[in-house]
Amino acid sequence: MKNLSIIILSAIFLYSCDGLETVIDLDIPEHNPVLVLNSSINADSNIRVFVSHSIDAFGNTYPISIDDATVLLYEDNQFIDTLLPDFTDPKYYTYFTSDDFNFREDSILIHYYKSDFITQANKTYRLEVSHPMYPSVSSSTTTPSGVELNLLESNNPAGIEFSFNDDPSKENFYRLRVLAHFSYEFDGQIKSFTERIEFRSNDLSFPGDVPFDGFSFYGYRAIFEDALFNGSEKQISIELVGAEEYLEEVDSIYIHFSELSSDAYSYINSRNSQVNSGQAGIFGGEVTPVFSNVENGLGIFRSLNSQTVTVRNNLTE
Amino acid sequence: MKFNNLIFFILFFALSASAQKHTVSGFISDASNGETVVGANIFCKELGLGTTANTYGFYSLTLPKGSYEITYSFLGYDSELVQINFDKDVKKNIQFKSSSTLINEVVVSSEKNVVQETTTSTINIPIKQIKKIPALLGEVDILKAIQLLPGVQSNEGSSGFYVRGGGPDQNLILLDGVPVYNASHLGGLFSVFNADAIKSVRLIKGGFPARFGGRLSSVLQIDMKEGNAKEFKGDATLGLVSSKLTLEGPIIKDKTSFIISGRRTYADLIVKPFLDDETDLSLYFYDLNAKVNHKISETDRIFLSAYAGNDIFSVNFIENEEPGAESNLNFGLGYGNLTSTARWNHLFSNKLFSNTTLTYSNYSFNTNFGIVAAETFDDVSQNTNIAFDYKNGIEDYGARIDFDYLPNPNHEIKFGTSYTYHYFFPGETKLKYDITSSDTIFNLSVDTIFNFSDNVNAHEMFVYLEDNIRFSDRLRANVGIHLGYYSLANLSSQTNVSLLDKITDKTNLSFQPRISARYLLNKDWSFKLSYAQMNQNIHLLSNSSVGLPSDIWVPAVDSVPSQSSSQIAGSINTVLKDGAYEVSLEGYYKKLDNLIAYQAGFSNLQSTENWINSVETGGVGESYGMELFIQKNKGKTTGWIGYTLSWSNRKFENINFGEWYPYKYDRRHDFSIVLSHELTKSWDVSATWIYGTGNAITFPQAIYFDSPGNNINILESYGNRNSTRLPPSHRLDVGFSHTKKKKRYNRTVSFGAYNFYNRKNPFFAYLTTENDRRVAKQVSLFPVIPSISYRIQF
Repeated sequence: MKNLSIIILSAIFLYSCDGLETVIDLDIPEHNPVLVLNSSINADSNIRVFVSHSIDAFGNTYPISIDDATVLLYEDNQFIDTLLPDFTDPKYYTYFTSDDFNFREDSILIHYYKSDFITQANKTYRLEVSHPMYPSVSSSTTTPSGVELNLLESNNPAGIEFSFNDDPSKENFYRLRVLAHFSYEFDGQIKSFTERIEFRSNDLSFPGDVPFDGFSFYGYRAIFEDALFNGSEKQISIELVGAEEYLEEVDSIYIHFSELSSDAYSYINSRNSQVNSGQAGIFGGEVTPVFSNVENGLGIFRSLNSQTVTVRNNLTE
Repeated sequence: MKFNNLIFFILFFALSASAQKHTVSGFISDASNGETVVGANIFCKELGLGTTANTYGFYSLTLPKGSYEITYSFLGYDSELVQINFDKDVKKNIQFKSSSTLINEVVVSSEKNVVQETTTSTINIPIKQIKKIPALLGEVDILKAIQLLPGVQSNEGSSGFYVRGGGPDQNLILLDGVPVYNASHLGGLFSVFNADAIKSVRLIKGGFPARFGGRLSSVLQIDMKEGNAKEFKGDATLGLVSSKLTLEGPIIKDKTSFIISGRRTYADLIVKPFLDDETDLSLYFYDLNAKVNHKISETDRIFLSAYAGNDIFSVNFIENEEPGAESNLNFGLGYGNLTSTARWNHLFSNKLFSNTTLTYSNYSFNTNFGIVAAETFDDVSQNTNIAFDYKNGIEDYGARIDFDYLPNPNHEIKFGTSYTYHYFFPGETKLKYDITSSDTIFNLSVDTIFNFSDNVNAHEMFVYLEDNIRFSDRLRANVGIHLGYYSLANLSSQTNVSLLDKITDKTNLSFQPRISARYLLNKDWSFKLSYAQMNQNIHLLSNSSVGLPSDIWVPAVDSVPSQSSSQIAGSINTVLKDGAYEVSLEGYYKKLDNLIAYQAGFSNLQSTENWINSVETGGVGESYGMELFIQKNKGKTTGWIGYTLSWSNRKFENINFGEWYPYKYDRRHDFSIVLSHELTKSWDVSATWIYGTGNAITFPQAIYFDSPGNNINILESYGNRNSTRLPPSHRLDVGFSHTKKKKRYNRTVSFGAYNFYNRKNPFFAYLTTENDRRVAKQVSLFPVIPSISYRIQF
């Protein structure tokens, strides 16, 4: 009898433990879908725009690319061009959804809206997008002026040092990446590819972490602001991680340095924060809304001014 | 100038009334065990004058020359009527005997009844009542009982509490006068207070008397038992998850006594048989309370008390499945409090009582992770030793002296001073890598210590003066001021600043007026009003989504200044059916300034950023609402009904576009009913039912595609901060106990069920995909959980 009671109690307990994760109805404010505009322009380059829409948080559909919107481009308030979707160059991008721990892969077809117009530095560009099913949206960004990089000598074969002058008249934001170009022979043909290289640094302007092996920053890109060196000459030292494994095999190594618009900087940081904190669940802190400069809609229209400087070229040596 | 006037005013009235009068004074204790009785009433019916025994059972009543019948009373005890001749000062110690008719009854009330008490927003819960409340896994929990009171919000499964819209860091939890910084075990499932060692629990939510300071929202005073001064007693409980043992008794009868109480959980011992040989697990917490008191003389008494409690979790896993490779992986997590107090009660005269206290408090958290591995691959042997260790904490050294001066029945003056030296260590990480290989190219050795923030020392001091003034039979007021001082001790910019300059620096000072007044409409009805300003010089950096033991206490600094609040509260109070029921309806408005919050997306578990750069500062908050409290004090059925209607909002410049938003624990409705019923002499039944509006959360309202990279992310759009509500929580807990008197001991068997009807209450919710649809899912913590415990008292 005693054992039976224990069995019955245990069964009740185990049954009640089932379903501690349950689907619920949440009374969230109604969402009216809006246009989503995503575009990143680099000074002295063409412009392309991805237009889609938002969708209610609950449901079984995902947003799609919108190909029949009207997309107008303005430079310093002067109309420049009407951007059209490029149906000759369809792009497929993969996205992932998860059903608890089961990841599912899907893709979206995008036809970018493009223009032959070449953007310039220090200009303000505005996009106006309209579509009969959604409220019209607009967004603007001012392309940064960019900086001149001065390469400095480094005694460390894996080290890279350079400097630039920060513009004292405004807040500036930067992104540093290091790229390597490799080539190899396959089936009698020369193939090549470019890859981002991990680097490390102790620069105080870079995002910091627990120091490892004497370095507080490790990563494939450093995004930073000029708060600690505003208006002065900034010198940066980095070291390539694991360089001994590829330094002799690489065709060339170059740094890709960009000055970012403030909207680009806000967007990248907030986007990374949302994506990263989401992975940590309830331990990830308060959720981060992703920065958007699109009026009446969502997304980002951002700009940067990039330059590429070769720091090692084995082909010419 | 205002301060001087106030002191003059109080002393003038206090001294002017003292001529041609005599005083009866003494201590009040329980005849059965010698424990002092806190809050007993001493009343002269003939003159309509009386007083109340203080925390140490001391009382003093000064009356005009004459002979009067004095009544000593306290619920649960037989009243004592003593004829005293006031032609000279008299010393009279009273030993209460438990009431034969009320012995098993309990009361949830202020020292006086709710009508007579001067201060607002104050509730005492006798430990007897707390022990009757059904508890999670049968583990009686003081903080869980506090959560059932109106004005107190909580999260299921957490022993943290939120008072009148305040944060979890805004509660001053005092164990024998020492601040306890983390009052929870097992991440919040249980509180650190072992009810077997506790004598009294008192919660103050507003109208704070001037003797308290340092937190904005509440003071929770928990006093340990002193130990039975008459005879040796024991109390042992065997439960599902823990066992407890309490021993107390006289060292020298009626002069020196002790109490020692220990508790340990044994989840790890239960789980151990199910683990394989390669896994070694420790998962438990323990508490140890100890107290000794010694009566040196009729005027001097000393108390030494200590508390130590720790949570231990560690797992050690050995893997040697592949030949030539063996690894040992270990993870540890521990946190705990250590507090100790030394007190000296001294009677300077029959009107002046002092209590001098030295305190020490330490809270520390640490976690570590390590791998020790040896492997051989392709004739290359490699030994790896990786160790990661993180710790943070706070340590306090304190001293305070309090005086009770009772010149006449119209004045109960308290004054004193307190000094605390805080030592904050907000976070330190040790990292050690040691890889040695026969192929030296793989050798690596790193040994580093990284401090997230500098350790900081701080001085915190206050002086206070308060007077409980009887203006007339109808009007009483507790008027006081609390003058606080706070400065950092080791700022390099202040190395040349003299101590005098620091103390007189107005930016280091805070002036905090307090007033509580009661007006008796008639003998059964009263109206009360209170106003209190509070300052808080420390902040708790808490992950916004969930409170954890890793939350960090940090000091106020120039860029993150002290928090402050001001609160006004008013109540109307009555007693019904000859005091069997007490009813109060209270309204309040609280304004909070200089609040902080972690920046969006920041988690102290994921970042190494200096905390000062990780917080939003300058936040303001407001909370307001009404609380209804109906208690039944007498009879076979006792308990209370509490209802709170409240609003709590926050505003930060960089959160929610600078607009007001609901605080996470903004809860519109909170309802609790707590009932205990004596079925027979040996059977008791108890039940609690709670209902609370769901927490405010920030939940995705829409999704959209990000700018494409190699892949494309789906981003979430949230709308306003905390604009979505989780479903409401409600739960019924029931408990039964059967007590049987044996020849040498009493035994009690208790059994019950937590969450009796198996309600799935939300802990948190997230957006996910199920059957190709995006849905909201909630995670619940506790299903119905039965419990049973066996207790013997000898």
